Amino acid sequence: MENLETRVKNLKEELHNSSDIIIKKISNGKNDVFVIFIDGIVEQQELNLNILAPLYKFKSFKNCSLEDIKTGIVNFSNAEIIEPKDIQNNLLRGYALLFIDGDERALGFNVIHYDGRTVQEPPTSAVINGPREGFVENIKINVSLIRKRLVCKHLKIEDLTVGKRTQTSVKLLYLDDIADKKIVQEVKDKINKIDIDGVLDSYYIGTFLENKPNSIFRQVGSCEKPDIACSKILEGRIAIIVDGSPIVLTVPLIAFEDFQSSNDYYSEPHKASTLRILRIIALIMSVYLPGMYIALRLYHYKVLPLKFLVTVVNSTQNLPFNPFLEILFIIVLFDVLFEASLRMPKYLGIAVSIVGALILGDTAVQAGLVSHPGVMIVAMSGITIYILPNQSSQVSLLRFIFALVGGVLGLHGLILASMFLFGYLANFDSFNTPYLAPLAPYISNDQKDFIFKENLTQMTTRPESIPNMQEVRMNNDMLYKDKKDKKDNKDNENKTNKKVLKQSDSIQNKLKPAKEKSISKDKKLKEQNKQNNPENEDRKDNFEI
Amino acid sequence: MKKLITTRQLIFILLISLCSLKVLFLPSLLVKEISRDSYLFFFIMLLLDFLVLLVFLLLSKKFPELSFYEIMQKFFGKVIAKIIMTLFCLFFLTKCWAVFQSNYIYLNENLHTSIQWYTFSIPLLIVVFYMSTFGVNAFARLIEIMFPVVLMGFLLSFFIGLFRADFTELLPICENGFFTNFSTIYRFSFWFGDYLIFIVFLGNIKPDKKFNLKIVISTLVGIVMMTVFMMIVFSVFSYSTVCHTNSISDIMQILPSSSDIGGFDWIIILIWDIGLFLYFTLNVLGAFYCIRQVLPKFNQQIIVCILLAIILGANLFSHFDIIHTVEIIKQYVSYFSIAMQYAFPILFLLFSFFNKSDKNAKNETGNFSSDPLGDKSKNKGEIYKGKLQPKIKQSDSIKQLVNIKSKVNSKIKFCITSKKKEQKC
Repeated sequence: MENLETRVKNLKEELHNSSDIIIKKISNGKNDVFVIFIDGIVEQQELNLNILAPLYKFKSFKNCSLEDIKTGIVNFSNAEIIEPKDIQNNLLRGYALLFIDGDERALGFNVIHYDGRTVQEPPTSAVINGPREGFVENIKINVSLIRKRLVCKHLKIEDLTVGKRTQTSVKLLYLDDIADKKIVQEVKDKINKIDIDGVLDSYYIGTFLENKPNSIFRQVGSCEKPDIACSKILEGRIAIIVDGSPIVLTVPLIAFEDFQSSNDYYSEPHKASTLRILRIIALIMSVYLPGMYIALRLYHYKVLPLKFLVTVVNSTQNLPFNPFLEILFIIVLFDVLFEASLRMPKYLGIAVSIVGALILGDTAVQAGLVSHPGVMIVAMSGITIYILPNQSSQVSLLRFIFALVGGVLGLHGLILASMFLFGYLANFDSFNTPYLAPLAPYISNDQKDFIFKENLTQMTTRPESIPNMQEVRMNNDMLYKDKKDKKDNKDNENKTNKKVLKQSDSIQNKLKPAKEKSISKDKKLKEQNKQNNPENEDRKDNFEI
Repeated sequence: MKKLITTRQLIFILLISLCSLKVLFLPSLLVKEISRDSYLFFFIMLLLDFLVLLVFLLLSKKFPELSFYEIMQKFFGKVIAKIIMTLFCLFFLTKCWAVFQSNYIYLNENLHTSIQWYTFSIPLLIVVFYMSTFGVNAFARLIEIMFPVVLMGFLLSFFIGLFRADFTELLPICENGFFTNFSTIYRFSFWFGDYLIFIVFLGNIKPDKKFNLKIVISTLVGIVMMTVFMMIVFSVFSYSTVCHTNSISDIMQILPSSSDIGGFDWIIILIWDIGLFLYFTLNVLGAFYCIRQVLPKFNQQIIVCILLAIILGANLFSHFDIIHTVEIIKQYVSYFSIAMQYAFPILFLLFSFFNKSDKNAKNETGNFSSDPLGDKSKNKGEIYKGKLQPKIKQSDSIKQLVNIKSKVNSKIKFCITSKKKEQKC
């Protein structure tokens, strides 16, 4: 075995002599020990007080094993013996490693500490009522936020590691007695198959979980708040937490999830229902409004009511562009402004958006380049896109496509595009869950929490559209019904068992004469054999005995 | 895993196919021949269609697990089954051609007066044929989403007309005698027979409780609504349609009080367009389904491209002279359609009486469930887990029974072999 000092130096060399790798040599008497760790990712105070200080105070390491140091010398409970093959990985993850002479293994102290955000309200999921905690980049904190809410023995957490170079830890969280086992297995298989050098965000994992990764539509849900994640887990979904990402993935996903806000569950049902209808109207407006405006103005102006037509014609006189080019020009202009305001520093961004939206828009109208209705239509569709923040990228792309189709084929083109869109979505499945459920296929039970939200007391069962193993979620009348169902099931089972027994009896009865015949024939044959060859028969009997 | 369509989806499909093609083009054609008694013709033809539907319901009840092609194989053998499937494929393609023409006329006269045939046809055909590769289940879901929209359009047209209708305009009934009026009605049979599309769904249906009753009631309601709608149309427009263009949306626009409903008119037009699109896709699906049975080893995409080319060619040929096309349909295609729509179902009915029901075979394999799904019950079980448990237990008991049977069989075999050995000795 090589010298301890060279071993430690070799380890540092293997890590390309990185400057943040710290080696501490502790010399007490003849025997030395080495402690090696990476600066910046360890809890320095804990390392100094509980690990290094006792080691310095100790008189001699002669005849000391790693087990002795772990149990007797160091005042630190979160320590473990690490095999040689895992040494490098654990060092990189933030362990402080202690080496002694004569032992290839190392003693690892879990002093991992990464600086990160504290738990705060996520900016895209702000609520008026309800909890305001949001996920952060630290996986342990994220798991604890869920554990805090789901105090349940059935909450199962499974650890996976993805990324050859990042070794990102991924955790699957689900309720063992509710989540569908097949889906859990499918998710695990898909994650285990990922062969990538690095995973920096949950988005990476999400892409691998999708059945159609080239589709513009999301097939994996996401959330930034633990209360939302918990509600999804309670419905039978699986949450996937990725280290370093504040976005938690959930599967399976249905399209209408994005119409539901966490606010809906902390306010009156009628208010939630009204808001959901508004969201649907907003989505329709954002996708169809520019295309419809172009189609009506270019091809179907006759079908507009007369007064409306006069107003539009008056305001669009003497424009240099036709409506198609006009709307496309405004859409592009607004999208550029939006991108610019996102990329710029916060206060400059506000100024840019004001200049762009108000001054540039108004000046363009006054200069006669674009019309008032055109600006209004694009602005309305632009605002309504962000009513569903999770769908904004898809919706803005669809808006552009529908504007193009409306300009080329008119209303007929819009219908064609809509049919294709709905047909495509109807063909979509996310982990055995129809994407457009509970609308198509229609699931009557799930209508309680679809467009119209019913009172919490009426939502006694889990959504049928999400595969799960326990239908009932609330202990009231439904439970009684469940018991009754179980009783009915038992009765049915008994009946079927009786049927089966009867049938088996009848089969046996049918077979009886044949059996009896065969037995009697056997006896006859035996007797004949006895009479013909008495010696053989005796031998056979002996053999049987 | 086999995906199934629900009873609700099937009802929507049947209702969409009941109204889509008939409301746009046919009324104006009929008015020119039968005048105000056209609604009676509608009623008679719809009832005939209903009888065809009953034949298919009987087939689905008798052979719940078999697809149409399998039933045909059982009735007539493999070769004749393939010939029948080819004929049905041709029938659906002809329907597609007719729908395509109707849609073009309808758009050209009302919604999109300046549209070129290629601008209209190429995107439509590509979308429809691409969607046909999604399969029956995706289409059934699409219909489920779109049906309320089409229904809304139908009801809007219905009530707008109802408040303006004067039903005394339809009197006296059959003024020139029943047979004088209806001697040539067979020529319009092509616009009916839409329930033949049921053949695509045979063996793919997940039946509810009272499946047949639900289908029958909803279809009868549809037929009554359709007949009343036609009464409204012919009472309001019995004379005016002759001087106007061919489709009903144009009729709606020349209403005396059209300024009142101007705002609604384009909504109705749009909705009928959706209906036609769905009907078109349904027939393409039918043609696709039939040809796939005939050529099972062919690549799906190649088949779709061939069908697409056929329809595009037919439309290229006919778009120059649409009136001539309509005449061709009335004169020649009508005989073919009568054979497909009425003669074949009668044949199926007769053969179904001579063939054993599939239920016995099902019991032999140990499936006690009334649900003729087989594989699909697993599929359903993934979604509706709670309801499936009893069936799983039943299947366990079935396994026990099968085990007992196999044990008994093996014992008998053992007895026989031992006897033979002894005899040899």
